[in-house]
Amino acid sequence: MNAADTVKQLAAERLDVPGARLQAASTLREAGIDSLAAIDLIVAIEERLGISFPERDLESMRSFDDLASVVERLLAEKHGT
Amino acid sequence: MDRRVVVTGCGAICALGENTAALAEALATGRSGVHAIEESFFGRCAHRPLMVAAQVPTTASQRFLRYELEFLDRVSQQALIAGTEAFEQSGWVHDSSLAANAGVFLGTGMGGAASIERAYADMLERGKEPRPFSVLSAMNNAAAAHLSMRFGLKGPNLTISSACASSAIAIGEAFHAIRSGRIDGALAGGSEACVVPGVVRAWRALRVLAQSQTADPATSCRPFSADRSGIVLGEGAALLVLESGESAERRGASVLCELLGYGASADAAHITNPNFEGQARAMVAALADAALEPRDIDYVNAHGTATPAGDLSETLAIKRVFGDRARQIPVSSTKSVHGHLLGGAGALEFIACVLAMRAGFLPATMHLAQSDPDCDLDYVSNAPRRGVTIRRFMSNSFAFGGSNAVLIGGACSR
Repeated sequence: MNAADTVKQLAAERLDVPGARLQAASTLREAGIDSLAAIDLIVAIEERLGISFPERDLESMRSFDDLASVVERLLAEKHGT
Repeated sequence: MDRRVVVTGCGAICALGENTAALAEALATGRSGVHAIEESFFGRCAHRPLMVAAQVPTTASQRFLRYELEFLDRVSQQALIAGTEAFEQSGWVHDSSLAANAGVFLGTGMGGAASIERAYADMLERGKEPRPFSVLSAMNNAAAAHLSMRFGLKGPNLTISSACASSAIAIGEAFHAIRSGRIDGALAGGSEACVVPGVVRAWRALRVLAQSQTADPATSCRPFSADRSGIVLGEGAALLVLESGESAERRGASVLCELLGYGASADAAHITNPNFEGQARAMVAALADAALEPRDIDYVNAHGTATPAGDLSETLAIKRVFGDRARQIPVSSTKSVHGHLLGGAGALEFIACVLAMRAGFLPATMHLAQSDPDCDLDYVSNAPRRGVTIRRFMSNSFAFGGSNAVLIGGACSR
């Protein structure tokens, strides 16, 4: 499973966002994820993947792609690749 | 401008059940919601001897989405459950015009205690960050905020924290705000979710909690009995929909009760010791506010926490206010079955009075096993008394810190 799928799966699990709505959305806002729900999602990703988002990145993450690319970068750093 | 203020909706959740029908049934039969706390509840800090409490069933949380539970402490969950029942009963659901100038007045003593405890446990025991919404679920005004959001109530939003008098003060202040014309209506009452390990142990450390009756833990709360040993902590929420008499009439709403008087006082004496003079001052103030005489009161729902000093003080206060008639007035403490809801106590007990008044019975002081020569009033001992007409009742709430609040309600006068 790639990072984008993991992010969307966690959004579905934790935030009760319907699957169809998630698939169609490119931004968090389109999926109905507000600033608070985004924080909950980020904490869930951190716990699932054992990574830690730097605070400076949080403001800039508006789309699922933004989130996925940060996740991929953090995973790469974690595994030293 | 002095308007009549009426109750058009009641909602309650407590150890006796998740709505007012369950509360009414338990009061009419004397069923107790007190039980021994599971040993596993305290985790590594397991405690002997057994302790008792009156907890809300954990199934109540199933009414909320997983994500909602991240920022809804049980204190807010309970408030929303009781608020929904009250709101639906009142019929406000169908009348959004009221919401624009209706407020929320909510009492709570300990707020989101479980959320605070979880944050400390995450940080100190597990070496983790607190959950991201710890602040939002723990803050004292969270429950009142969720009530305003859920029901669109755009008037003043107040959280009142005066320990065990909180929700009686909340109802009293809402009553006065409506009576004076400042607001048109309110959702008023209280919520408390205090049965979390650290809080229970802290109360225990103060040496004011009841000892468990080993033969039957359900009988551990024994107000006015010679063998009373203290408070049984209870959880729950109770909310009233209050509005002006004209508003209820215009909407064609059923009126459950009229609010008649509210009195408050401070002992200004001691942080825990009750003071019968301060308590009596609040009772006299409520009577004056209602323009009633002591002889107009048919029933007193006592604060009656079952501490040795508290029950004695309240007995003296009732004698001070009611004089020669004190022994003729039925007085009971329903805490014997639903425990002490602290910041939610006054509201739950006010609703107990409304339910009893409407059904025509007096709720009992259960588990009054041995009479105490110093507590010599008519405490409606051990069995509800049926076929009794209550025209007007008084509900007492006295708090640590010396804050006293008394409400008077009655059958609708028109």
